Amino acid sequence: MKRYLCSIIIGLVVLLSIGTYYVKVASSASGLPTFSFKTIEGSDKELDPVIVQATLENNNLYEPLTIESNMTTYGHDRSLWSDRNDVQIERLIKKHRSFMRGKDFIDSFYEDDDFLAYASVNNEYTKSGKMEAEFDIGVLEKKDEDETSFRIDFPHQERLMNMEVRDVQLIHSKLQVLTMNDVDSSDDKQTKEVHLYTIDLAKKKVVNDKTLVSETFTYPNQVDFEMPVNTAPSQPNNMILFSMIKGVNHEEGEYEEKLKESKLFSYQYDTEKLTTIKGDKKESLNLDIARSGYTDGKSLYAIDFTSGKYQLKTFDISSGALTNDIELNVAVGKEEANFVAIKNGRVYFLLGSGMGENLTYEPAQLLIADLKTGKTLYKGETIRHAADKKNEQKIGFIISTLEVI
Amino acid sequence: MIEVKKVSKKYGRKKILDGVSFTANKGEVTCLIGINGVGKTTTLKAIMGLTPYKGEILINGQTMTKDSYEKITFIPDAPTMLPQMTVKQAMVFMKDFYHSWNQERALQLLEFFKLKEESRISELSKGNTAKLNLMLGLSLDVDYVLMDEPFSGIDIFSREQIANVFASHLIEDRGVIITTHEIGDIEHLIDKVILLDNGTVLKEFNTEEMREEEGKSVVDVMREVYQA
Amino acid sequence: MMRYLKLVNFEINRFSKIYLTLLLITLLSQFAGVLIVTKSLLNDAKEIMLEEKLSEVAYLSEYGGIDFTHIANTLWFLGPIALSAVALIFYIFLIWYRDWFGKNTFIYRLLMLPTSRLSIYLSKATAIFLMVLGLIAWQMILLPLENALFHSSVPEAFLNMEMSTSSIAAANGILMLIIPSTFTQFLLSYGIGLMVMSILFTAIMFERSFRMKGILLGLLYGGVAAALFLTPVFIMASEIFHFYSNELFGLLLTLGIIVTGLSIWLGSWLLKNRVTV
Repeated sequence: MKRYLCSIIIGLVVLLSIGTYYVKVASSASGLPTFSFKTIEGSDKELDPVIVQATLENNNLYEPLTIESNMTTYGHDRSLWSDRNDVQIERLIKKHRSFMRGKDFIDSFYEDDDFLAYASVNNEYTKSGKMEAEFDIGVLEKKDEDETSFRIDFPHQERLMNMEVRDVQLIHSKLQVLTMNDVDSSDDKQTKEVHLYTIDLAKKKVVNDKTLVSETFTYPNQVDFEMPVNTAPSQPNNMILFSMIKGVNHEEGEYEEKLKESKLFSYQYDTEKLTTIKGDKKESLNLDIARSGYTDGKSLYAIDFTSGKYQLKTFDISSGALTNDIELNVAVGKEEANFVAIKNGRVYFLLGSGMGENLTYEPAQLLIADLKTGKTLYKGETIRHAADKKNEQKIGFIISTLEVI
Repeated sequence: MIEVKKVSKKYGRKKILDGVSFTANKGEVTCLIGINGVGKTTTLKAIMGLTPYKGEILINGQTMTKDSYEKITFIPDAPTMLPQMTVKQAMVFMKDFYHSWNQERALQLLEFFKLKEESRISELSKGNTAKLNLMLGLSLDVDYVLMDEPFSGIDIFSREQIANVFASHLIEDRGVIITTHEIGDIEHLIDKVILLDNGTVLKEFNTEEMREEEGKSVVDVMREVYQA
Repeated sequence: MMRYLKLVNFEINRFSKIYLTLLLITLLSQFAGVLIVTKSLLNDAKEIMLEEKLSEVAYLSEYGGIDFTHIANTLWFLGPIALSAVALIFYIFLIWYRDWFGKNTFIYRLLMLPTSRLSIYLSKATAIFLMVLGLIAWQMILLPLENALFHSSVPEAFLNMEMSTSSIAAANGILMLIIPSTFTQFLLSYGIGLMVMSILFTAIMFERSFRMKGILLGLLYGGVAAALFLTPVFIMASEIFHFYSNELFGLLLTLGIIVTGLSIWLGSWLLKNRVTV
């Protein structure tokens, strides 16, 4: 037996030590607190589509966690080999797995009852430093799962250096692709443009390239295009809002926005009309509101705190008029971080990030209200269930996103 | 019976063995003779499955398997145990791995060769290393023993001792294949001679028949063949 | 089976002296590192406090305290890990070549054992793998002890935070590599290690079978095995086809098992049929 001592010891030490280590890791992970919503008002059912992503800071380790259908799952519980997409992409993958391969940017999609369409730009630099770009187009006819995909050269690519698809619509069998492009220039001048490309699906050709806005500037000036958060980016929209923000970079490295020179535009796909929204009337849609707002293509929703209460204001995009103004039934303290989702005819409003002063835990409040009437459908707050009381103090918690299916 | 049938072997372009065929019987001492580099050692390695070859080698009518190593053993002319081992540890190793290990005979051989159990292999003289090799190989209850140059580079007293083993009951009725380029000490023990040159069998004969019928000793035949 | 286990034991005993030395170096160097680095960090702090006439509180708010990550990033700590890694990688080759070279040709004995050549191949692989795991296990035992020693030698005020063993392992790149944070990752990492070792073994068998030509064959085999294993990754990278993560994982797992199995089969086949002593 003495001859085998060495091997037996190594074998036992390996089993015991590695075994104990990972058992401990697993048990300390199960000792992490869980989070859920405590209902104050309304029905728990309302929570079903709510997904909150947060991060737990425990002993210098950051653990991502998800509260979904009011249950906590930690990142380490999810299998290593699962994709992490946003909920809308996830929903599309479930329905159209084959078509959705390699497509993961929700702004690139258009979906109606009959079609699911996709457009993105692939660009790569050749060895000589030249950029080659093409449209990657895919259309799925839902009824018989008929897939068409093709690639076409990006028009006038030689003058561009960066292009990003921001909206896709399918109108009369033609794909409308809205992009934001950076123009390649050899001098100090920089140009940013918003383009609308019309792609004939039958001919597989770009039949129109329309420049909606083009703006040239030189450093230290700066121009950026922005769009309000789209609550349903893949749904058919007839209208789109985007803003052009001008600013200047000061010498000390500070950046200052020049809102007076900035502009808010709307574009209507069917009439092909580009409008500059002045927003000079009282209580009407303006640049400021649009930048913080959420749009579904018809209306723009914005949270307003100026009156000391949380109010959700609804504006009609085409007229710019205020069409609805509801008060959200949440306790008002100081203005805090908030997360908003507009979905299912409801507004989901999460106030607070879970982290209070001195990095201590502070419950975040969730309100779900009817988008039209403002009636409170659900009200609750996060509650921490500490599995291990001992190190509760050292655990940090911060919410990062609110998603609604 | 060990049957070597048309065995060929190349190292690169060089032919080491070129259609070698012979048989070796149980209870007989078969001697592979040839000057250095004619493929004697390669033949033994091929029989033991220590080198790939073309052709066929059968042991008691069967090809080599792992269990054959309980029935046939090879004693190369270099130690096959780790230098840091003692003689005793080498014996324990053999006992551990071979069912055919015969501890009683091992002790007899140890006594016969006057080897000490506690000696370290790295500290053994060339002669004692050869004896240890022989001891480890002969202590297995095998049918065949293959020995590669058991006498080369060994002092005269060790040679005598080793030669005595062949005459003793320690060999018993086993089949022995031995390679050598100096026949002197053991000519009287050899039953069969295979003369190799350039990878081929030049001549194969029974020593007794040769002596009786043609009145020639092995050395006579060697002289005839190699000097022709 | 018994002979296989005996062979594993034999291989481990053969390496035991060097192995014990590695364990000892790790122990001594890491513990010495904890003491020496802690002391020098505290001395530096005192010096700065004297020079800049700072109170302890002022110093801490300016420069911050210390924690175990300061220790884990030093050569005292990582040096022995690197040494052990290099030693074992080197031993992957040595475990074969030491049987062929030198005055004693143990390979004769090894290949004449009444056991399958596959057992011989596997026993060497098992021995190395077990010794790698042994080193990891050793580090897992040492870490909490070193952590405790560190705590006892740092005044509480200077301690940034109390770290658990797993958070120390996760905070250091090299430690994270050898001690993955979950058991699944552990299995996958060391599974890949096993595959790489089987490929190396097989390359060695090519060399032992065909010598100079075998080196080329071995390199070629390594390339083919790597290419086979990474095929799905290449397919994804070249944008021919996109795999979902679970598909990619499934493919890599399957290919990994195939490559490992193929390497073991081919390696032991070469050892049985083509190797020349």
